[in-house]
Amino acid sequence: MHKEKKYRMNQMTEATTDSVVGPADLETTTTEWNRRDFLKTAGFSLAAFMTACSKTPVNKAIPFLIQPEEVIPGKAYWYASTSHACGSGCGVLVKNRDSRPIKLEGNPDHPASQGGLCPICQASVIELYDSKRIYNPQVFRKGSTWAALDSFVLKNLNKTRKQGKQIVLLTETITSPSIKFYIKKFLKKYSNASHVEYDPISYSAILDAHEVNYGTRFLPQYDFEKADMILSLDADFLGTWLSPTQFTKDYRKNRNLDSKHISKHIHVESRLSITGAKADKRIVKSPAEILQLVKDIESALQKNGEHGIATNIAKELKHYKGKSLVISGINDIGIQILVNRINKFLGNIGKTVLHKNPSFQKSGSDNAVSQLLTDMKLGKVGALLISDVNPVYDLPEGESFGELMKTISTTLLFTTKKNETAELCNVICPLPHYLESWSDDEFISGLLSMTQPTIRGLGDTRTFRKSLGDWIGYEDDERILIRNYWKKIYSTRKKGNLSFNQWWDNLVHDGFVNIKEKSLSIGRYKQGSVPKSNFNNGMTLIAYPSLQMLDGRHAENPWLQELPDPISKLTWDNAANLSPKKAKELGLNQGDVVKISSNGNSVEMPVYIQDGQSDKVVAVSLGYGRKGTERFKNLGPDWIQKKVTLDEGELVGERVNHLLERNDNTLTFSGISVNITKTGKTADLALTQTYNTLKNPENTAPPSMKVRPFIQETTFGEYKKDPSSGAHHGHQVVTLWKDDHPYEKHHWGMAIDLGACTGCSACVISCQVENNVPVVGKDEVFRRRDMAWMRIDRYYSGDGEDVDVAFQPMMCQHCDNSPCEPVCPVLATVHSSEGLNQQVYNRCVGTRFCANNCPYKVRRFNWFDYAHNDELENMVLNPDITVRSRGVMEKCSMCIQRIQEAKIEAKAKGIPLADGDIKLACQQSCPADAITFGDLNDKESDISKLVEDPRHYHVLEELNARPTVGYLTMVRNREEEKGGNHHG
Amino acid sequence: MQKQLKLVTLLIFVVGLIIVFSNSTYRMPGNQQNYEPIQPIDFSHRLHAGEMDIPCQYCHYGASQSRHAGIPATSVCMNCHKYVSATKEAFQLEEKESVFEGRETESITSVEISKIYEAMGYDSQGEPIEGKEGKSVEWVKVHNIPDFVFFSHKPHITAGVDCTDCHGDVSSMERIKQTEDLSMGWCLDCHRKDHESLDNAPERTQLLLDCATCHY
Repeated sequence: MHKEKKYRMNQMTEATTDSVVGPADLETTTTEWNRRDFLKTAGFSLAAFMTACSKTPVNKAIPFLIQPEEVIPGKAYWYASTSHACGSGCGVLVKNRDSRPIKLEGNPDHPASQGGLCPICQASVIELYDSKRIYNPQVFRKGSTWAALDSFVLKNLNKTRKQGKQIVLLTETITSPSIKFYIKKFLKKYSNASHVEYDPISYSAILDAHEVNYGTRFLPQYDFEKADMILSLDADFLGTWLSPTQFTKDYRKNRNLDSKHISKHIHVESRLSITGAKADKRIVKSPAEILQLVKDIESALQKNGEHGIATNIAKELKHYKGKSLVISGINDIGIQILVNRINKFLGNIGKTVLHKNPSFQKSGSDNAVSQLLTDMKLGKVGALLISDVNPVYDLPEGESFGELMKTISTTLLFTTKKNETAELCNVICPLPHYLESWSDDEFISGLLSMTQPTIRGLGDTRTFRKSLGDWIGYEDDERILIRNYWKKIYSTRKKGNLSFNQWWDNLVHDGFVNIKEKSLSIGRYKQGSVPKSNFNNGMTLIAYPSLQMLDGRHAENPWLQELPDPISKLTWDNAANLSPKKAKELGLNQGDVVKISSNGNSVEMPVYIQDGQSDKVVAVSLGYGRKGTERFKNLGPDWIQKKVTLDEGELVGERVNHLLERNDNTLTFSGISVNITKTGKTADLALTQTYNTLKNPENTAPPSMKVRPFIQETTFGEYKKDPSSGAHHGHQVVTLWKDDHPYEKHHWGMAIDLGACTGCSACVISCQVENNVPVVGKDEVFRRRDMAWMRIDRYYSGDGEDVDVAFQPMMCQHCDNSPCEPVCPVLATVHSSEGLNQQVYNRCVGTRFCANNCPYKVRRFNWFDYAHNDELENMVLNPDITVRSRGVMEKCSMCIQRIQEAKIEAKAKGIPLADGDIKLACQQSCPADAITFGDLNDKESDISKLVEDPRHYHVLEELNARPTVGYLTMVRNREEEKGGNHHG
Repeated sequence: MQKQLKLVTLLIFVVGLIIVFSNSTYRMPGNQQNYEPIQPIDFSHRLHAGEMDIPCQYCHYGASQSRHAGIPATSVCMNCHKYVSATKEAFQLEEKESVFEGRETESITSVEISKIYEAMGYDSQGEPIEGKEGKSVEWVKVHNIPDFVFFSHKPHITAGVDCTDCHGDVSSMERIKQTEDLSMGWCLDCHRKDHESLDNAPERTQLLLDCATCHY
């Protein structure tokens, strides 16, 4: 009945029977791993791998008591599941090693995410092993049991009902059809109950605008693949907006240089985002100016007025009628209605803006939250049940929300971690991490995604669905709650004619299934009137979700905290981004602490001087200043000059949510009038890159090299005329070395397409997870001792607001003439017969000569033994990679463990290694498919073809280090030739 | 005279070195050759692998599929020891004695096998005890390699290396013992050889001399 099985399924599913699932089925759980078994294997792994170098240590080897079926210690198994970390619902494959998930990768078959995975989802695996998670139910801050908690809650809900007060379920967007069903049942049981959804990063305006224009509140699906012309009005769709991985995949497909034309992307924004950095044309405007621009474009489309830049954009949009896409990430109903009008006028509906299968990724309503606040003020709410949101932190009215919560007799929070709201709640229901729970989610209409446990729960946790089920009398197991729900309705929504059991098994095995779209009653298009926006014309604040933190729910994740912002390269902090001109005007230098105040609220934070930003805005990222981040106080190695990452009681970064405003009820993230004053204090910013351009200083620049040619850039028109355009020619190379390394079997090589790379940093986190790269803390980053094997260099060219940005992923270049190798006195870094530069940790004595001689600066030295004290957190370490100790050098190994595994696998199967069998961690995770890896000796391989491509070049070619990692010239779709051949 | 004294001192030094190095108790740090620790259960490889001729991979089934050959789960022991609770001789003796004493033959469990039952949470007859949880046997690991070495059984089994090549004649060992020194030189001795004798050796053994074959 089954196709070939590629992934494992949670064992519970394999016991499916036709009859209604009863307790008999539950018994299969005994073959599942329990906590004890898990700890046993953990003990085995620890004993087996972590001890070495002491004299005849007595190591224990503790096998399973009862052999789980199909589990072989040391062998990785994969489960298909769904990520719940960022809310866009990407399909993931979970790598499970000795019963513990250790790595997440995008599911290549998943129709939406198509194999990519954003840094946040990749990093979320470490949160599973967070020893500071809440593991037990709590009532009045005391540990409790679920039975006691349930009776307490039910008693209070009944009391509230009798009192005639409201019960409010406050949740984030619910994407699970089964949860929606149980909520409906809950609301039916408690007639005085209501359900309020909100999204911390609000998309409410888009939904509300669609209600105005189409009569139904919905969020359409955007198809970037079909869009030949993209106008983005401050929508960071490659970084953080809505579903970045899916959009990057689709966007990339329409930028294939072999085709006749590629998409043209115009980006209008106030700050500098990675999407803006990728745009073919970037226009910098303050939020008020953006509003004016949209109005002008709309009127320029209708009649041929003269509006300058708007006319030009309108002309281009008209040229691409039905093949264009206009989007806006500004949470303002006025702008969104205008965007809807433009898309309607251009005939994009049904082509690039899809109403048939809308997105359910966001459905929160700002109006509803405002209404809830009013009700709370009036004392109408008797019980507030909050699920997995943190209103006290998220909402601008957070503080008063917290005060009001104290007046409500029953406050309950479903959460995985302690947070601002948890402190004020009577009852805490701990949620499991998504890697230990079941879920069914319809993030996009017609695409049902499955989440299955890949580890037995580490704590006494329970999902929202199960809790609701228990309270309304569906006291079934989690899986059965979902299964029974779908059993009932699957005939109305299934595609094809599989039996329910087959359908379910496919769903669990593949991680997703296509179903019939939910039909929405979309009304006839109405023009609608544009409500007033309240964007201020003066100095304004823009609060944006950063690529690492989004709304701050992952603030406790050390990997994400140490991930440099792709634009500012800032770690462990958020800063007030100001344009160079504005900073000069205010007499501010980078690192000066300023006070940003608005309407009596204020925040103090250091200044970061950001090129390419509007002079009228100060941009600050959301998601910082979360309680719970004080845990990072002592992060980093202990030594005499240690500066603590955080002072006593300090949090990582500053919260700015309280500066946000509401226009009518809609939450405004930009255009908020602020005052900036100097405080006289300064702060250290932990940046991983402190130089911004490739210009040589004027007094020292050789005449032939005003700009260093690390980035080659050309335009699409030029490229079509001459594919080698943009290339830097004429390096004379002399060599000391004889050509006596033939690389007879394999010769591994890599190419990175700078035209495709968006700087999203998925590869950086993927590399960190795969290769056990340690987190070092703010102080060490400040001392340039960050350990990332892979970094993304970012270079600006141009001046002021009008800058071009280039991203260049940089890791060990595995040079054929490696400069690091001859200088090592102990042969700890040597060349392999397959062209890899190997680092042998056990030989290294730590002279650091190699790092000094590396022109690419990709080697990292272990100045300390970085903390691995948290035994639970150590579960995430990849057992195939050595945990490096103090005093050794390390660097990218080209995922040698993956190469070895693929070779061993091919050998065992008796077939030769095929191109594409080996996927490196960075390559696999890339949503833009910018990285290609393969065998240079195989002339048919993708990499060999790319090396022959006229766009292919090496960085620092003139040194004749002969790297095997190459780059492909960046191609932008613009007319004018800008900056000549070189980026500078 | 001075010269002679020097020569004699040198000679004594060299002889001393030879004595020290030839002494069998001296070894490089980490070298555990001839390590033969006492195990929690007196499991006899001689009996199982030798006399009974059970294939190695019946118990160590991970070897052909994974890095680790693995130590069998206690449940694997129970595949046979559900039925075998003592030696044949012990049974015959008990039968003789019971006939001699004119009583019913009792089922008997050997001391070592009762440890398996104990681990499983069973009673001395090998029957599960209600509500009793088992506890895995904590074997002492014999073959240890440092954690910067990545040895995988799988490619060696694929290549047709015999288990005894590295583990010695296990079928004659009462208690398991590390026969080789498992040093890098010892690994390379084999990796450098031309492996015509192996069924499925890599085409070029030379390739497997890269550091990154084992160190990453």
